[in-house]
Amino acid sequence: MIKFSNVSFKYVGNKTEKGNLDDIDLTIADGEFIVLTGESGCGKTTFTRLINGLVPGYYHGEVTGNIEVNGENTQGKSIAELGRNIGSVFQNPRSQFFNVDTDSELAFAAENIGVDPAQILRSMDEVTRDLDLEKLRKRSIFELSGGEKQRIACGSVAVMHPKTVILDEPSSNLDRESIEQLRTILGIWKKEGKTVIIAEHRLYYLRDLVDRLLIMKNGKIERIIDSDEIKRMSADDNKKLGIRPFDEQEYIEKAKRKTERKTAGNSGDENGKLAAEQSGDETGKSVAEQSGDEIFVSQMDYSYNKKEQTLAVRNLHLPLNRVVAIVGKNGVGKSTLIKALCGILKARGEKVYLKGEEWKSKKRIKNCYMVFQDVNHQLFTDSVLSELTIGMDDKLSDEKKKEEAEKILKRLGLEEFGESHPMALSGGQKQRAAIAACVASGRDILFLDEPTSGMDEMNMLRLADEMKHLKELGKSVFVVTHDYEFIDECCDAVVELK
Amino acid sequence: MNKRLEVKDLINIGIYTALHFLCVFIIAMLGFIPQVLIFAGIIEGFIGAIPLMLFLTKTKKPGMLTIMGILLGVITVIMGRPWQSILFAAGAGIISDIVWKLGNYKSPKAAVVCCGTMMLWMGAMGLPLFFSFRDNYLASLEEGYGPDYVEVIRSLTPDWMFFVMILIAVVGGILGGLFAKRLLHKHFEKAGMTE
Amino acid sequence: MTRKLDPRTKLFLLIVINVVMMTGKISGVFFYVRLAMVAIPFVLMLKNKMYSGAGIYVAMYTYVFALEGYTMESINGVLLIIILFTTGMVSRFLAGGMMAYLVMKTTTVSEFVTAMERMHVPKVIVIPFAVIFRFFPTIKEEWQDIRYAMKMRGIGAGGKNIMQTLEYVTVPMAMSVSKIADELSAASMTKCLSVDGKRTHIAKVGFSWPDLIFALCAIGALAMHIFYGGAITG
Repeated sequence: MIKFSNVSFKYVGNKTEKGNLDDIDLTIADGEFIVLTGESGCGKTTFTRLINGLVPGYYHGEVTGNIEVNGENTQGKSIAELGRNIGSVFQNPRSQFFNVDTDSELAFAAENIGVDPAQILRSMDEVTRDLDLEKLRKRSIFELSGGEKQRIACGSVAVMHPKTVILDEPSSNLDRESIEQLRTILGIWKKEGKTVIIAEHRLYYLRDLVDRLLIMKNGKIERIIDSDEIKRMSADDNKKLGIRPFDEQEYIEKAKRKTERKTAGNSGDENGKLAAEQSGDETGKSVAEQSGDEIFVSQMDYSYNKKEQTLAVRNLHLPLNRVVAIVGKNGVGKSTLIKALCGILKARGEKVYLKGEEWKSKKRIKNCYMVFQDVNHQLFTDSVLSELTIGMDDKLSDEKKKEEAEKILKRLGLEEFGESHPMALSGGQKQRAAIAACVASGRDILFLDEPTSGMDEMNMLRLADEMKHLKELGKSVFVVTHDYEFIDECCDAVVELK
Repeated sequence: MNKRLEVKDLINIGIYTALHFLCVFIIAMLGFIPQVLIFAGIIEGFIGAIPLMLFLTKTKKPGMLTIMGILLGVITVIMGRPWQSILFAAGAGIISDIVWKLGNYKSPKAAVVCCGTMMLWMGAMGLPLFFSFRDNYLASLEEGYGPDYVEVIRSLTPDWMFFVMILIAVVGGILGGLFAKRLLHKHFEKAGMTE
Repeated sequence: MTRKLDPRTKLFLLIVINVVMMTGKISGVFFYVRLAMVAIPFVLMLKNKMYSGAGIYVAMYTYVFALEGYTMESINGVLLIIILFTTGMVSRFLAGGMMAYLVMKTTTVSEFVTAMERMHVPKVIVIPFAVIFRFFPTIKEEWQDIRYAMKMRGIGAGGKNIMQTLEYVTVPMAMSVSKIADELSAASMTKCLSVDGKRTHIAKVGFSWPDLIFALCAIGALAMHIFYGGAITG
């Protein structure tokens, strides 16, 4: 049992009046499956950190009130002590591993508390069987996909047989297939009677698992919804509450209708996994004409290493002046495709035409802009505002630039942060700042790689509006995404890669 | 505040040591040309100081810079330098630790000095060229590469040059420190990274 | 040979290769000593099925050794020095560099930690050392991503304004490295990593006969180097 009694918390760096958590009173029974949701900054992550001890043991601040885990007060216990019974899975699969190979990582926690090696190995084998990790054993972490890394993260937690598992936005960087696998693991844990607590924006994969959904706002629990009510909720109900839908099926259906499967492009060669599926747009206009308003990729190959060809595109048509969603399974080469299209990756034997005219990569790089999935690398300057103005047309005067930049920030809900340093922003704010810089660049062809990962409902809707706005300005936007609610909001056409 | 080293501190030491070493190493690779050999130190110091400065913003406890020095020494020995290198690099770490403590783990001036003193470990990299190591080393070079080559090296590296080389690296470190401090002021303070 | 070499053996080999290649004599019998050192990474590459790498490695050494032999006899002056510098660079660094790569590639963090703890290295050294080990590939990934971002913004690696470029590299690097450090620390702590706790190990680390063969070979080379090579000692 986990019991919060009148718990409030404020981070050390927080200079505002209000705390990060405000008077939380809650009891979580053993074996209960709890989902915390709410807009970014609502306190859901802080809540999970109070359970595994990262708050206040690692992220310092002032706690008042009382937290009991399994009948014991957590105060004065180290994170490592709490870790014996509480497993934690984090958002970023890139930075939660101490080891470079999967087996070492699976054993890591158990080794740290001095469990007998024979027993660790037995436990690892059990977990491998239960969670179906056979294919991931003895691999290098660096060659795993995000989804595979997240499964190893779950496995390394399971080896410890914890009573409680905490997950902080575990699905943010995953595609649908990987989320499905995560759901399976969570289902197994629920059946085993573990207490599972997840902070998450994306809810659809949790519908059948959740016992209680807590909607948080400004550090308080605003609403508690139980499983019976959740089963009755429609997508509209979720929208009214400002949370992500439980049911994405409707959106997926709609997206499918946007993916008109016309004459399919040629498939890739034998070892190429990828062939572009032809798509139309809602106007039903033929996109097969090379001279039309489209980007036509007659050929594009790329491989990161000798063993595997990542990209083998033949005859791909991408409509211009639209918001186009690019979907497809993990590892199919979506990110590689847009990197190559934008010219930052040099593809082999590429032939790309824009409105019938050949476009070399040098030209593309000047006219395209891409927002990466991990935006930490693309913020260079010392304020959000200058992040936008630096890329603007040099002919504009400084005031004009500033004025324009402020407008964009406002639309993306960043107006307060113009003078802030990008590093001082939260993950979601950084993401929006990078997108704002992309909009400000004034380039005509924009690529976004999973822009809504880890975004709450409100910001997702803002972003969707911005996409529509860009289209009105005559820009072409290509979004790699698997967020069907977002596709439904703003995308005109869907291209599926296979 | 707790002065014992925690997991977080050790992980930071590892990460920034790796970054610092890599910066210095890449530039040192250029330093095999004798005319550049001497002055490469200034660039090594300059570039190497940037991760050091970042590291200092995370260093609030005694011993962290000493451990960094020891690790740099161990890497140098693994790279085939004499074992005395460890003492040299550890010494650089200890001195920097003292300087940083005198600066109360926050003085920007002390941080810049630290970037310089930490670069003393570069002495370990150049060690085989000097002192009792020198004649043997040059003899082995002469046998292989002929007297012309060795004459160039010899004329460029009298024993006092050892100190000049270290000094140059230290100066590079301080300059890099100043540059990084400017960045730090511009970026990191604004980002709330230094407290 | 199914047993892996012990990490301690690998580190020892790496040190000996570096000492001999960097500071040893190169003519007479020492040519063969060097050859033996060059052969160690080659054998290990074959063992790890890096056949094309091994081929290139051998070709480079053959070329460099041949060029050294030829130029010494027939060329003098500045040209000789220039050639010797390039060949010297390759012959000195390649074997050690390859060996360092092999150590990183074939040793897991947990084997490495186990071996170090067997040598009674304190945890305050072991943990950061293991992190260094883990972090090199991460830096490579980060650098790649920063390059992409710079390219898109039209900032070249050797841009006009070097200080500006340096700033544009430093800031995102600092940003993502400090984020990784932060998250890695948090994750490691929830996995019970602590400075003083006693650990167990599942990694099977220990010496077996291949260790012996390689070690004897290295000890022989080192002995030659110390007693007859006259160069620096360890």
